Amino acid sequence: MATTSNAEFIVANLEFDDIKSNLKTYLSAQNIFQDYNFDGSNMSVLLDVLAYNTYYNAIHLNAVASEMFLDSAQIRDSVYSHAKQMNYMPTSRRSSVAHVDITVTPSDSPHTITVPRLTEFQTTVGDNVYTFSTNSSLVLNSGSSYTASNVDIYEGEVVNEFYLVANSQNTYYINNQDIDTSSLTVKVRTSNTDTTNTTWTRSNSLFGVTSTSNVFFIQAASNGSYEIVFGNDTFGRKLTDGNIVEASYRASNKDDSDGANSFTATGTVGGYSTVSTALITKATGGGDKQEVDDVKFAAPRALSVQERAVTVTDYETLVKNEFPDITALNVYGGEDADPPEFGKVIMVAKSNVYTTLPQSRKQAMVDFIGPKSSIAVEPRVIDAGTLSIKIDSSIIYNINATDSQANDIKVSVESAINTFSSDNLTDFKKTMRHSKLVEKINESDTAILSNETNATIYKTINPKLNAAYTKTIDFHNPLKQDNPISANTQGSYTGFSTPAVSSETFTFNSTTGASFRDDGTGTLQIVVANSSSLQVLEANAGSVSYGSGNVSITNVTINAITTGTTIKLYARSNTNDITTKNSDIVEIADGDVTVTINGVRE
Amino acid sequence: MSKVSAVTANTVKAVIFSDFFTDFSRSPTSGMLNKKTNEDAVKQSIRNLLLTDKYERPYQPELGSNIQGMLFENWTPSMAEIMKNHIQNVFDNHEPRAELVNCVVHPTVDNASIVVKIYFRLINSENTVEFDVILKRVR
Repeated sequence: MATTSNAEFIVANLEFDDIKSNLKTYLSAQNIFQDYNFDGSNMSVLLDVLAYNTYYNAIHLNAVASEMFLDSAQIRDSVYSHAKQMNYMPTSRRSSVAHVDITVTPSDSPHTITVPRLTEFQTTVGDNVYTFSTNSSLVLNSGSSYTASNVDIYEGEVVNEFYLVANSQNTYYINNQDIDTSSLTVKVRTSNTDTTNTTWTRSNSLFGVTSTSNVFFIQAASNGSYEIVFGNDTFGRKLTDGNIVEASYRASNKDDSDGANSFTATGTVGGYSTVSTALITKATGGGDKQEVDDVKFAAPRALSVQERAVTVTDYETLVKNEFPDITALNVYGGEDADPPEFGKVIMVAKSNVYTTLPQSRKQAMVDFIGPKSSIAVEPRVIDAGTLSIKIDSSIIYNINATDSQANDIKVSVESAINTFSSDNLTDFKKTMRHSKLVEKINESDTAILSNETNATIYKTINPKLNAAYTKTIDFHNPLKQDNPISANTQGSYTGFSTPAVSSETFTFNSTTGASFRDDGTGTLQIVVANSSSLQVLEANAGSVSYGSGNVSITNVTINAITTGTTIKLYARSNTNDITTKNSDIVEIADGDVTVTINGVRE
Repeated sequence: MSKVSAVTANTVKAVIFSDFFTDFSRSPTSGMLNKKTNEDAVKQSIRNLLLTDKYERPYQPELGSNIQGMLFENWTPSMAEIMKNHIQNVFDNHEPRAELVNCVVHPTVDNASIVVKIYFRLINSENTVEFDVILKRVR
């Protein structure tokens, strides 16, 4: 018998070559079969088989172990399974939604016209035709000219699946993976001879569910799909053999139909073919099913939330999970609002599909979070504001240190600033650190010797023309107060003063080229200013609080805006770092970056 | 040294290379695996290598000769040279115990087979060893 007792056999290696090498080392302690080192020998073939088998088992066990934990699982089914244990359901596809007015023009004068649920409308985006449908039935009456206003219509082909209950089965697989689970409705008939449907409602938890509750649950299933689960006569009514389950839902094309803005009814409504739609909001909000990594991130957090909104994180987790288009959310108590709104929770939401959230979307968020909030807390959704930063950067670079042209340097700097903005800003509770930005600009090209970068903050106002306009703008940063302008020196104005507040130009009292400007003592004025003169058109157009950054415009009637439909109100921050509070997102937009390049030879 | 021990020393070769049989045959008396030793072991190794195609052994794509795959090529005079090159490469790359002395390739078109006659020498011996490898289609 071979003697191998002194040979060391290492079992920690996982690579094929290492395993085979270990086997050779082990066999080196015996002298019966000595050809293990030669590729063509039978011993070598046998070692290959052993090493391959060991390697295969190691990989298999490694994969099994990895898939056993949410942190390391890679396969969608495994991640879904772990999420299911946490009562977390991965988000399905979401249909695009558009808002339209629906008008039926009848040939007679009926008292009412009913628009059934799932009434279909077609639209075209690119070369593709998409179907939108109503989510609930509507009743039009003659008093409203047979018009339903601001109706939500959702994209997706309506799919109906039927299941015959047998063998007391209580789980039914939904075959279409494109389902938008928020659209799922379930009806149950007692038998195939029964024509009456009972609508069962969806439940997300066992709270309030009794043995006679007609409820169903949805849970993630294999292959990225979902399944419907019914009760067991303890929690939720149990199905009986012979029952027929009808599941109805939309199969969504995710965001492919976003942007659709013209809808045509595909059939008659209430027997009338003259159906028209008027667009209120074009289609937005479509989304794909949740990525595996997102599920791994969200599931443990959803477990900690337990479907209850108590802390700020609870609100963020719940809302972001339910509304995938919400990319940034800031939640704070009403006591921190300005002015305070006690008893409320303010949710400031930024969507990647809506510039301004439609009222229906805000209401949907309130309806969703309301039942999960504490008693006596009233949630409210407001739009995110933007505190924009205008960057003027003057670059000096060494011509001898680079082959790049000035324009190449400029592109590098602009790219660095944009990257800085996307990495560090464009979210709530962010601060623009001036010195960090300066560093990034210097690092954008090795030939850059120095940069002088100035940041000016601004907000955009949208006054109604030829009407008294009053507005308070909060810059959230202390403003840089300059020397007061004496009324006596206005005539000899030489531009020595740099105001804390200024603006783009507009027409005021039929005078073009007017702009807002503070006088250095806290009064907002309307002036016509250039480098050599300053003409005050309105000595008191509001006030400026330099300490808080509050600017109030009071009863100003603007006749026309010089460029565009909005006016940018600029302010100089007293500090280089620029921060925001509560409802504002700080950002550097692409068009707000001005880079000047100067080359020297060193 | 006694006469007996001297005879033993001269007639029993030292076992330098040893391997078991491809069919795992066992000794009927001891029950242990039979052994092939020295030039027989090397001969078996070379045969294994010649009958192994590249990409056949797991994680060792370069191991083998690929001459089996040549059975399905149209036979031309240059094919014999190519086959010899493959065989030479096997000796150079995978069988350090032996050097190829000569190899003769005989195509037998009627039998749809090729007979390869190998002449090699162990690196520690001056004796030339000869054996045949018959390559034959099985389908």
